[in-house]
Amino acid sequence: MKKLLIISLILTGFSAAAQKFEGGFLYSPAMLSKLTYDKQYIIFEDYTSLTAGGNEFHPYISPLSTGVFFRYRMPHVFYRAEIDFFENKFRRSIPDWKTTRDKYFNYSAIEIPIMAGYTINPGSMFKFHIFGGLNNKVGRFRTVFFSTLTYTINDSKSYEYYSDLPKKLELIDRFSLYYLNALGGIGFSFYGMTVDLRAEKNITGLNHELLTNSANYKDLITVRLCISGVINIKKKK
Amino acid sequence: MIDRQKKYYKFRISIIAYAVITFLLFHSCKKDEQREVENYYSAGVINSQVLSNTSTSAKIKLRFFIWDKSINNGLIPFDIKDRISGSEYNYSGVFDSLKRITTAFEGNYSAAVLISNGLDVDEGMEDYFEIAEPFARKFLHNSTPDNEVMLAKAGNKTKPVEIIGNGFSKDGSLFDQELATICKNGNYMANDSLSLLKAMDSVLNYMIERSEFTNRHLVLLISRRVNFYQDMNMTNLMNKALHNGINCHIIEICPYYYWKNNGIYDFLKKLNARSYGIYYTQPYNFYYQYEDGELPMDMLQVAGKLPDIFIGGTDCFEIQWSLTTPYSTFYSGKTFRWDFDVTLSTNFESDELNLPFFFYIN
Repeated sequence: MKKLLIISLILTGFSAAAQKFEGGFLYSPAMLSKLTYDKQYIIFEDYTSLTAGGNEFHPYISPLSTGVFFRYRMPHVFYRAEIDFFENKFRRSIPDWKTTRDKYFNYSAIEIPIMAGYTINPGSMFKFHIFGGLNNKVGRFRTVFFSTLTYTINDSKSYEYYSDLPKKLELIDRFSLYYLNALGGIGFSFYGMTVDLRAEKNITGLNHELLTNSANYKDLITVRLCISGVINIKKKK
Repeated sequence: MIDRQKKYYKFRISIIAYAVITFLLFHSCKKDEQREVENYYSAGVINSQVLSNTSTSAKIKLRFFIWDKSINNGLIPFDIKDRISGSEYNYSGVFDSLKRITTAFEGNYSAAVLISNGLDVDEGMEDYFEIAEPFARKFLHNSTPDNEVMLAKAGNKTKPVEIIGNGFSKDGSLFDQELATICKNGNYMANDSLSLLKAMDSVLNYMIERSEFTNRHLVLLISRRVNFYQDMNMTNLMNKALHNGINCHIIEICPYYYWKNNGIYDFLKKLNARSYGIYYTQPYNFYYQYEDGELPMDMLQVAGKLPDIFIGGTDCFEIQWSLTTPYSTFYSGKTFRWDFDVTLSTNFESDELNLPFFFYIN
């Protein structure tokens, strides 16, 4: 307990409890996602198709998901904004892919969530809170490491062979460059450390372009585990 | 001071020179793509015509293509006279002439793709639907909106044919989901018999009645090789296609020797040869192991070029073969198969492309 307290004090810069304006870093190491489609088959530009499926939540680790936050805190109510660079992973959303290396595609986006929350027990050491808001998701970045953009060397052909890579890139490109999510969640704070569980669902279209012949993205629901630590920005006078 | 400056400049120049040399060396070492023949060329027969024959010889006029992906899928520009050799199998052949021609302009067309699902032999059929689906889809997409296309599925005795959607359409993408359903679910061992002849008859009737254009084509993508109902008069079916000017094309995705029902296959060969249809089968080794998600380039190239052939005004080769055999073979009313090879090379390899075709002795 003593150690935990010391760690928390270091993270919060020894001064978090008395602040109204706060800021800090955010890390999201794990997520669940469920992606659904509006038709049965995804038709690709190379005239092939894959079964659109999954329709289940799948868990992932998301080691490249991080961001910064700013918070205005009152005894009960708080407002919070973030600028994040989060991974969006979709494993097994394409059941036709046969091998392990093929079973996922992912991309990263800049996320700007704006939230309001309510602290249930502001005087306690463990402060429980609920929150809700909107998340602006901007861009689709191909995070090369740990991602789908890998290729294998095809020994029999003596050249680099990109297995299913064009399809994965097409799937990424079909996401809209901007869409809006509604988000809500619960969490608790312990000194300057906050642990949140937040769920999001898109409230605007996910698709860059709606295709009439192919399955389009319908709904994307994600649940993220977020851990944030406060760094002092401005002290209360 | 000046010496120090000079030294400094010398050092800077040598660093820049080193960087430039490293850069140049790196680029000169960059490996060129090792082009494989099968990733660049497709070759097949557009149609054949027997000009004259005796029981031991036949003169055949043949139109064929060799398309090159690197020149926008155009006809290969180089001379192939020295690269052609006739097969020694069954008959010996020499060619009398070889020239480039442009086919006659036929105009817009109405085309039907007849596809069957279920396999009744599993040898060599592994990739059938993975290839048939993009082939059919590319053809349907590339045909429209100027031409009209339809998709039909051959079925069993109780439902010989299913016309997909509303029949002819000028939007090929309308068939996308149904085509995917057929092909994703088609790869199973079928126990029932296929009512192919009745299915063809229904499609021909539909085409004759509903097609907007008189330039008509039926593309056959048949997955089964054994179990067929022979429940129709084949001569009537043949005449229906011929009298109404419907060209019947065979796209053979697995090796022809897996056909076990010779009655049906002989009929299809004859129909193909007599209606001046395209016979296309992969000119490469069928046992090439494709990776997941990889497709044979030539099949997709042909699917994309079929509309050009159907419309006409397309460049191709015309060759006249003289076939001879020591035995009395070429009887009238029969269809025969023969093939020849074309050797093509890239910066990486040389390969012999095999072009089989059917010819009909009247």
